[in-house]
Amino acid sequence: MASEKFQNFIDETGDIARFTGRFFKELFKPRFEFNEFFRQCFFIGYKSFPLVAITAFIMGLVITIQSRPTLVEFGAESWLPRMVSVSLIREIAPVITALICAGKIGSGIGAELGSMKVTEQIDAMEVSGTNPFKFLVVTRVITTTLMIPILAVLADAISLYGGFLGANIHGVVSWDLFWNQVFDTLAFGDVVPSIIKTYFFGFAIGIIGCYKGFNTNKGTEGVGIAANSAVVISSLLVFILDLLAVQITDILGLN
Amino acid sequence: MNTELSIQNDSNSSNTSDLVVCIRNLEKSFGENHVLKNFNFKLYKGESIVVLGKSGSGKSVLVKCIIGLLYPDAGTIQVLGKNIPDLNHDELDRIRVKVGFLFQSNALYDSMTVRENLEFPLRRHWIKMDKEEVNSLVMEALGNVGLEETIDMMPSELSGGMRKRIALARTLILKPEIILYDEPTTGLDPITSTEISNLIVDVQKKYNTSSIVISHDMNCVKIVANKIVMLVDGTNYISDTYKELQKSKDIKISSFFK
Amino acid sequence: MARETTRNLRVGIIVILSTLLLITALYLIGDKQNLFGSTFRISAKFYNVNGLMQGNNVRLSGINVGTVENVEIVADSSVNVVMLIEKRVQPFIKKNAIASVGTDGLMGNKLVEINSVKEDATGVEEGDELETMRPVEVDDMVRTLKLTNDNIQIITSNLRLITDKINSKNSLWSLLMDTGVAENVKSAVVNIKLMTNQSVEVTGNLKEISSGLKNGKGTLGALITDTLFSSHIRQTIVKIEKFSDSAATITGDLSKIVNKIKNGQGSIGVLLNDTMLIYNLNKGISSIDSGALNFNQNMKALKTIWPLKKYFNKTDK
Repeated sequence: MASEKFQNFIDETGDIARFTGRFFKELFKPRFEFNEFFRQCFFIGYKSFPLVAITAFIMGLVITIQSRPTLVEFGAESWLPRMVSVSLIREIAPVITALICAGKIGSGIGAELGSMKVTEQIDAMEVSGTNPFKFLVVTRVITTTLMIPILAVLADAISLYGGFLGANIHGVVSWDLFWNQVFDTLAFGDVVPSIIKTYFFGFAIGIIGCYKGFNTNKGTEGVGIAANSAVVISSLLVFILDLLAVQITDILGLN
Repeated sequence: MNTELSIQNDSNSSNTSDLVVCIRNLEKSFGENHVLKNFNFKLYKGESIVVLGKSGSGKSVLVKCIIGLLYPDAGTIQVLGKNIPDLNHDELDRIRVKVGFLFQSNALYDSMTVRENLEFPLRRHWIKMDKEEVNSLVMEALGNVGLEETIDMMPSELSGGMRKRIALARTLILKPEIILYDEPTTGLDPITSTEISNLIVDVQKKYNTSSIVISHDMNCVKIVANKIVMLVDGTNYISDTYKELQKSKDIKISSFFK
Repeated sequence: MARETTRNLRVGIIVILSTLLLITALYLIGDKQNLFGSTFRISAKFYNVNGLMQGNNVRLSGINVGTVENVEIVADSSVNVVMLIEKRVQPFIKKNAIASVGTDGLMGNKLVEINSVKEDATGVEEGDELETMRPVEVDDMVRTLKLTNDNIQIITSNLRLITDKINSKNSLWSLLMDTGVAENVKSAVVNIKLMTNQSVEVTGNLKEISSGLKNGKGTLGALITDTLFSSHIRQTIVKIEKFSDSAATITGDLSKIVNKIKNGQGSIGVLLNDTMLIYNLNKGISSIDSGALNFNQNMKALKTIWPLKKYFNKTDK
C-alpha cells in the first residue's frame, strides 16, 4: 500500500514535470492569447487584491504587536520598525500572499479547468481549432507568474502600513521616523530576493492549478478533488520553494 | 463476420467520391478495457447514420476518434479522404472545420456569452473575417436554431434545450460537411428531444450534411436515422434501417426497440 | 468591449501602483546605500578594523554620510578601507580628519567614525587618505605600559648617575671631560624622548580606562573583574608616580647644571662642540609632557639664557 502510494507520488511528480515542460514548449509557439491573458489578469490579479490587502494589513499589525514584548524586555523597543520590516518584507508578506493566492487562485483555476474538462469544453476548444493548452494553461500560468509578485509588492506596502499602526498602539513612532527606520534597515538583499521568489510562487500556483484542472476525470466529483489537491500541492510547493529560496540567497551571500 | 464482408463489398461497388467517412479495423483500448475491436464503418454523402449501443459500448470513443480527440491503437479513419491518425495538428485543424461536433454536455464555455461562444470557432488563425461578416454568421447560426434573442446571455441563464440548440448553432457556424452528434437528446424531456431531433433533420436538409448520430433515445433515432449501425462489444454488430431492425428477433437488437 | 476596457483599466492601476511602490522602495534603499546620487571615495589605513565589513556605515560627527566600499589587507599590519562618501559632506571633511573604527551602540554594527581635528585644513578630495586612530586594545596597552616602566627605570638610573656626579665635589670641568658621563646624558635624552611619547599614549589610554571604569561599561567593565589585569594597572600607576618624583629631582638637578654652566662660561666649549647632543637635548626636553612643568621652564631658560644662539649663528657663517 505504501509503496503504491509512493509510486503514485513519483508518477505524479513526473507528470507535473512533463506538464511544465509542455508549458514551456507551448509558450513560445505563435499566437499568444492576449485577450484571455488580460481577462485572467483581472480575475486573478485584481479580484485577489482585496483579500491579499486585508491579510497583509492584519499580518503587519499582528506581527508588530506580538514582537513588541520581546523587544521591550531587551530595552530595544526602538528597534521595532526595523525588526518588523525585515520579517515582513523578507518572509511574511510574500509567503502570506502566495498562500492566500494558492487558496484563492489555485482552487479557482483547478475548479474552472476541471469543470471545463468534465463538461468537454476543453475538447470543444480543441475541435474549434484553438489550442486549449495555450488558451487556458499558458495564459493562466503567465498571469499568476506576473500578478503574484505585483500583489506581493502591494502586500509589502500594506503590511508595513499595518506595522506602522501596530507600532503606534502602545508606543509613539512618527510617520517619518517609522519609514526612515524601515528604509534604513532594508537592503537590496532583503527586497530583491523576496520579490524574485514570488515569481516562482506564482508560477507554481498557476502550473499546479492548471495541471490539476487539466487532468481532471471522474466527472463532477473530480472537479472538487482537483480544486482541493491544487490548493494542497501549491501551498506545499510555496513552502518548499521558500526553503530553496532561502538556501540559494544564503549561498549567494545575500543574507 | 458476414455483415462486415457485405459492407466491404458494398464499398467496392459504390462511387468512392461520395464516401465521406470510412473506418477500417479500428482498435482502441484503455488499459485492459478493449473498447473498440475491429470496427468497420462507412458514411456516404447526405447520409444520416445512427450508431446505437449500450452505455459504455464505446460510442463516444468512436466519434472522438473520428474528430481526432483520441488516437486509435490500430486501424484507419478516412475522413474526406484523409487518414485522421496520420495528420499533424494543422492538417487536423483544417479537417475539423469541415467536421462539426455536438458534444453530449453541449460544452458551451461558461465564462463567455452566447455571442462569444459562437465566435469561438471563427478565431482560427487562418480564418480572416471582418466584424460584419462574423456578426452575420453568428446571427445566421442563431436564426437556424431560433434563438436570436439570447445573443448576449450567459450559458448559465439558458434552459437545457436552449443550450443544446446554441451548441448546435456553434457547430453549424462553419457550415461543416459532416456533423457528429454525441447523444444529442440525452437529459432532455421528450418534447424538447423531438424538437432537437427535428432540428437535426432540418439542418441536414438545409446544408446537405452527412451525420453520425450517437444515441440510445429511440424517439430521436426514429426521426433522424437513414440507417442504424449497432455497436455491440466494441464491434459493428449489424447495419440496417430502422424498420428492418425493428422486426429483428435478435435479443441484442430487439431490446432497444421496446 | 467596454467591460474589457474597465477591467484592463483596473488591472493597469494595480500594476502601475505596485511598480511605483517597488521603484520608490528600491530608490529609497539605494539612497541609503549610496548607490545612486553623487559620491566620492576616500580611504584610510588601519592597523586593525575589528571586523569592519563592506557596507558598514561611515559617520561624520555622528551622521551617516557614507558606506564602506571595500576592506582589503595591504600589509601584515595595515588594512586599507575605501569609503564611499556623499558628495554634499565633502567640504566638511578636512584633510587632517581622523578616522577610527567604532561600534554603533553597545552591540551594534561596526562603523567608521570620521572626527574633525581642531586645527584648520582644507577639505578632502577624491582619493585622499585619512589619518587613523588605533582602536583601544587592552593587550596593547598593557604591553606599552610595561615598556614605559622599563624605560623609566633606565632613565632614572642614568639621570641619577649624572646628578650624583654633578653633585659630587668634582668640578664641572672634570664632569665635562668625562666622556662616560656624556654618553650617559645622550642615552638618557634618547630614553626621555621614547618615554615621553609613550607616556602620552599611556595617559590617554589610562584616561579612557578610568572613564570606562567609572561608567562600568563595555568590555573594560567586564575586564575589571580580572584581578591580574587590575593589579597590573595598579603597579603601573605606582611606578609612574615614582618616576614623576624622580623626574622632579632630575629637573632640579638639571637646572643646577645650567646655573653652573652659566657661571663657568669658558670651560664649556668641549660640551658645546657636540652639536648632536645639544640637538637631542633640545628635542628631548621639548617633547616632554606638559605635565612636567619644570622641564618646560628649563627649556625656556635654556633658550633665553644660554648663549647657544650666538654660537650657532657663528658656525653657520
